[in-house]
Formats: sequence, structure tokens, C-alpha cells
Amino acid sequence: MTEDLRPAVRLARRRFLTLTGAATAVAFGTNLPGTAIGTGGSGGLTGNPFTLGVASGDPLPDAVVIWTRLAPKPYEPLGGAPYKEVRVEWQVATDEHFRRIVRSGRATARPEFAHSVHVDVRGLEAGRHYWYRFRVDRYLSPTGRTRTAPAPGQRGGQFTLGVSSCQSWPDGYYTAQRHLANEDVDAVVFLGDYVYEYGIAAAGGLRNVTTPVPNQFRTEADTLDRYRLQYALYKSDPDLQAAHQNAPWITTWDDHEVQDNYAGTVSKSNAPVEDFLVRRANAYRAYWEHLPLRGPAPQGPNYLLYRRFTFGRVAELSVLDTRQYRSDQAAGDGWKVDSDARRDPARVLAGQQQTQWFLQGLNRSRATWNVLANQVIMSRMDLDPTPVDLYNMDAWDGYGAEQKVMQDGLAANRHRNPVVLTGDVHAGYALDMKRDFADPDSQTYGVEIVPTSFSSGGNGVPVSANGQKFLDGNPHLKFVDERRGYSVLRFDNSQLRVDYKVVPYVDKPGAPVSTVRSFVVEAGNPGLEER
Amino acid sequence: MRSRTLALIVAVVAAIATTGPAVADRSVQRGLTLSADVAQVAVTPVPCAKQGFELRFGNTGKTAVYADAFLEAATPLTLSRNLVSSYLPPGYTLKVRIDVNAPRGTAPGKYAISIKAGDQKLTLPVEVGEAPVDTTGNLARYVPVTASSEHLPLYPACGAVDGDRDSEHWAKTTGWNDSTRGNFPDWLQVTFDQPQTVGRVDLYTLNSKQYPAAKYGLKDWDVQTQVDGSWQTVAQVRNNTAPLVSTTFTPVTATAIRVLALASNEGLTYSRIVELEAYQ
Repeated sequence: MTEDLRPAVRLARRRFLTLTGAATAVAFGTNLPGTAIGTGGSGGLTGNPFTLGVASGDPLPDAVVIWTRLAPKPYEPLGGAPYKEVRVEWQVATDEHFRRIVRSGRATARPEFAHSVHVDVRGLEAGRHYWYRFRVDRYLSPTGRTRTAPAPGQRGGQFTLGVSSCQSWPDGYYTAQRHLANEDVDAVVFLGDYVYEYGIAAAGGLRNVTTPVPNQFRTEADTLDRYRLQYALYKSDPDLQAAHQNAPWITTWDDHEVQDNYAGTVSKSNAPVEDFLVRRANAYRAYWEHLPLRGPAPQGPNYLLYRRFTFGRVAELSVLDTRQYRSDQAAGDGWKVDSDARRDPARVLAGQQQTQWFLQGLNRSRATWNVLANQVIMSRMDLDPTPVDLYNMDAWDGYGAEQKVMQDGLAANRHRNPVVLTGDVHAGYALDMKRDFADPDSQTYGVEIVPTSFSSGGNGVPVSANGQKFLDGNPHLKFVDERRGYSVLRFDNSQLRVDYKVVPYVDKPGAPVSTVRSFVVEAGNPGLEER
Repeated sequence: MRSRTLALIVAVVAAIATTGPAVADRSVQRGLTLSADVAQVAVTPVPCAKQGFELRFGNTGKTAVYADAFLEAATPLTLSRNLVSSYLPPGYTLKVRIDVNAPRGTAPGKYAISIKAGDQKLTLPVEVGEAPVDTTGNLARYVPVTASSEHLPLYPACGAVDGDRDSEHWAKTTGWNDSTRGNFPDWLQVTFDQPQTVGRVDLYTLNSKQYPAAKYGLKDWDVQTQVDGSWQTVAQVRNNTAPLVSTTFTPVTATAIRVLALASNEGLTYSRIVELEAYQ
């Protein structure tokens, strides 16, 4: 239903659209009861369309992407929005009160993209905070805070990342995200499994909700409408929204954004490739629609997600995609003993093109710290403490030939201080990366930081039976904690400090957060030192 | 320093790829096809009935499209989804399962589902039959069932009240398994349409050749009843290794019964119930 547009309101709206800068701030500022600016070009939205919050991401020295999605009824078809284009106004300011607006404009929310809005705001100053918001007629979005990357070549200073992964909604409350929203981080790196494809029970799993999760969530996500619903549920969470509102996110995907343990064109159920690629296309599109990524949107089953960010001379971050290009898991997946198939050089994880892109970038990097946002464990990880080796066929261990190429490449760039960030396993691990993982005395060329999961796995325990097996079988593994949380990494010219933060439970809201372990890595001297 | 005279900023940077129609008056998509695997859908008006159809949504055009099919069912029928959106390569037909359900009390007779996509429309007739009646005295049959979580699609809560007690059918949707590995308690609940006198609850836990109850079955649980809106524990079962435990208690007039699963013989993994039955 379109609301009537009163003449005076129409005038006010026109003024709004023709003015910019400080005047625009006034127009946004009059968003008070009784001073509504009225509809027009709104496509007939009824109800607050900003139910999924706002976000920003992929910061460059002069640009950042700001995001929202219009969904007055997020669990209804089309998010409760009409099948029409909707005009959205946006503003970016240097202060949270929008007194000094430096960029503003209009974007079009299209039903083909679930009325998502991605604005690549350019012409910003390096290394500073900005605040942003959106408006559709009288509805004003929450205000988000973001931050541009430091200027290229800038030396000195500190750069801080919050890092986590795996946020299964039915596995628990987003308490960790709420705590991350209170951390002063320059950016958040998310390592995959932003949503899970599974159907969700009315009680919402460990959340045990009093308002039942609607019926349309029972089936597994497969088509575009269904993946969109999954994102709508996840992104309705106020704690996740708060974490997005506080800092720009740099995200990559793992398997569950499409399907558990898929590999390239091979689905878990070995569905016909033609069918699975349609599913993958639907999943990739929904991913882009709901995250603050630059355009263009994925068209079909392929999407170039791997990319690189530079944060002055302090750090460079390469973001990997180890799902889209990988060969099928060896030996039928799961935990398996060593085999020729595991080391078959024809089998790839990142793929040759991406691997070369990464290693060439690493060679050229002028940053003190070279960080890799990666999904599955790259170091050797043996589950069997006896002389028998047991490896995860879904991780780098399951792709031994390319694992060796990557590890050799990192070792050759030991002086560039490689730091591998890893998700997937729902556990906090800290690992020294060794020239020979079987020999604790061999050279350490980098560190692998696994910051645990936000919620996947439920409450968890400090160290499970398998966690102890890992500790017993892998001397390069310095720390295990299998509770939920995130890590904060502080980089400067001389050292990296890593704080592992966990919450004691997620099956109820409101858990406190604590730092359970901290390590320092000295630049030029790879290896974890406990602090 | 930046001043307020930034009025000339041309920062309308809608980064959305311009693949959609450029104008608001979008043209109707052509070349789409709609069909179903059945000419008519038969519906039994009870919860958990597995029924519906396969929607076939095709693109006969020469280019790939993203397309939407809108589904609507006559009241009071419900559909597992009212919208199917998908990428459709040229010549491709998407097949999607659509569940159709009708609440208890739905009048038997003819109904219809209408489906629209682009310039195509499909009307699918529905025949609602009589609701089945349980003759064994099992009060848990044909009433709504819910659970703390469900390991979907193979282990739905509905599988625990489908009349199938055979553990050899495990992993074929005939039994319930929660989806929160390692986390207890879990629960499974049936809710009656009207208060019922209940004095016995039979719980069949998983007990197949491959998965014997003593290793994989439910070990500890409470039987709870909802009376006048509040839950009370009427029985506690501990250290169970048997495939069937029949719990009797002083009969109560309950609106719902619930099994609060506390531990599995497998350890910190899952709760597994093949069938749950309730009697006077």
C-alpha cells in the first residue's frame, strides 16, 4: 500500500533531494514523529525496512562499501517488500551526529537483488572513522561506524583485526559478536560459514526460542529464495547487527554458505553437476546480496571472491576462497590415514591460479605482516597421537601437494612474517608452522591462528578428548580452547599480539567474555611466545 | 580541509550491477515454464503428513535468467514455500519439492494451488481427504509434534510419531535425532488438540543391528506433562539400555507431553527416539 503524499511533505522531500552536505543533514535530522518526510519512490514499502541492520566492508585507503537490505517483513517472500525498485538515500559523515557529511547520494534497491543496497563510497580519507546511514522516505536506518584502510606506504602505527568464523544460528546466541561490537578493531575478518544451509526447527535449536521459527525454515536451503531466508534470520540478530555496525567486515566463505563439505562442482550427495551448479549460483548470489562486497554481483555459478587488502606498511591481507576451485576430497572425505590420493599433485584446494596469485603477491609485499584469511587448517594436524597419522581430508592435509606448494612459499617468505588465519573447526588453536612438522626443532616460518567460532558447536568445552589428542600428536600446536568467541590481533612494526577471547556459554544470552590466552610474535622472528 | 561546499559531489554510486531492467516499468519475463509431477495433489489433513508435489520450473530461453515463481494455496492449505527463486541456465528445468499440508478439521473436498512465473500460470488441483483416526489408543498419533532441534532432513520430529517403531528404518525420516551434538538436554513434545487423560508413555529409542540401544540409545530422560499450563515431571528414567521403556504414572489430564532427554548411551552426542506413544 502506498501512503498518501501530502503536498507540504512532497515539497520537503524535494528539498531533501536537491540539497546535499550540511543541508542534507538537516533533512535527515528532521526524522521525528510529526515531521515525517513522506513517501515517493519508495515502491510502497510499509513498515520499517531496516530490520536487517547496516554493514560496511572491504575497506580501501579511499573507499568502503556500505550495505543494507530493505526487508519490512524479513521472513516473508521478497522480505515483505513489493516487486519494485525502491530509492534509497545514503550519507557518510566524519561524525556520528552527521554534522559534517562528506558523501551522500541515492541508490536503487532492486527486487532482483532482494532489495539489497551496496554503495562503494569513494573519495574518502585514509585511516579514519566514518559514520553512515540510509533512508527510505520516513524510515531512517541505524547508524554504522566504519573505517578506511591506512594510506598506502604509511609506516608505523598499530592495526587491529577482530577475527572469527562459523556462526550457526541454532547453535547459540551471538554473545561473542556482541562483545566484538565493543572492541576497538579497525576491521573484522570473517573466515566462512556465515550461514548454515540446514533447515531450522521451530524451537531454534540451542536458542530454545519462545517465538517459533516459522515453518518456511524447516527445509534445507537450496534455491535463492531459501538462502535469502536463511540470511534474513541470521541478520535479524541484534548482536550480529551490532558487530557489523562497529567496524567494516572483510568476509570469505567456506562450505556451509552452499552445502556441507562441497568441493568445487562436487556436492556432498554427488548431485548431477548441472543441478549443483544451479544451487551454487543461488547460494553465491544470496551471499553477495547480504554482505558488504563490491559489485558486480555474481551472475551464475562463479564468483571471484579472493582478493587482497593493504593496511599501510604494517599489514597486507590476502583473502582466499578454498571451496570454489577445489578437487573432490580424497578417500571419501573424513579423517583418513595417509594415502597416495592425499598427495596426488593433480588435486588442488585453492587451485593453481589462486595459489600463484597469493604467492606472487606475498613476494611483492612491502608490509611487515602478511596475513592470509583462509578457511581450513593449513598446518599438519594429526588426530592420532600414536605413530599412525590421521588427517582431515577436507583440510589442507587432504590436498598434500598444494599444501606443500603453499607451505614452501610461506617458508621462502619467512622474513615477511606470514600469519595464517583459519576457521572451520569451531576451536581456538595456536600453531607454529614448521619446516618439518615431524621435527619440533626444525625452523618455524610462520604462525597459524585459529580464533574459534562465534557460535557453531554450542557451548563447547576448554579441551575435549579430541582436543587433547591433537595436543598430544602435534607438538607445534601450542593452545587449544573449544569454547565460542573470537580473537583480536594487534599488529605494529615490531610485533603481533593475539588475544584469544571466549564466552563460557551461548545457549543463554548474556555470557561475559574473557581473554583465555595471549601470544606475541616478534617481527622477523616467527613463532608464538606466550604472554 | 573539506568544507560544506561539497554540493557537487556526484557520489551516487549504486554499485549494484545493472543486470535488472533499467526502468521501473519492468517487462514480464518470457520463456519460463511451469509444471508439476502430478496432475492433482492428494492431501490428508493431519500434521506430519508427507505430501505435496515437485514443481518443475524451466527456462526455454537462450540466456540464463534469475526467475521467481510465486505459489499460493487456497485457505486453509499451507505450502512449504510460497516463492521459488532461482538461477535458471538456458534449457534448464529446476525441480523443487513443495510440501502441501492442511490443518486437522479441514473440510474434505477440492482446493487449488496457483503458481505464477513471468507470463506463465499453473493451477494445480488439490483433493483433501478424510483425516485418519487412530484405533490403537495412542494419543500421540496425528497431533502436532515439536522438538528442541531436528537433524533435518533425515531425522525429523515427525518421524517419532509416524507409527513406525522399526529401528532398521533409521535415517529414513522415521525417527527423531536432535541437531545439537554434545548438548543436553534435548526435548521432544506432542501437543493435544484438547486435554487428554494420560497415564502411560512408551519410548522406543534407537535399537538397530548397527546401532544397539545399549550403545546409541537414550540413557536418561524425564517424562513431563503439561497440566493447566504448567509442566510437571511425572517420571524419571535413568541408566536405560532397553529399546522400549514403558513408563506408567498416576493419570493426569494433560494438554501436552514432553520427553526431556538428558543423556545418551553414546556419550556427549545426540538424542534418538524412533517412536513416542502416549496412552490413557
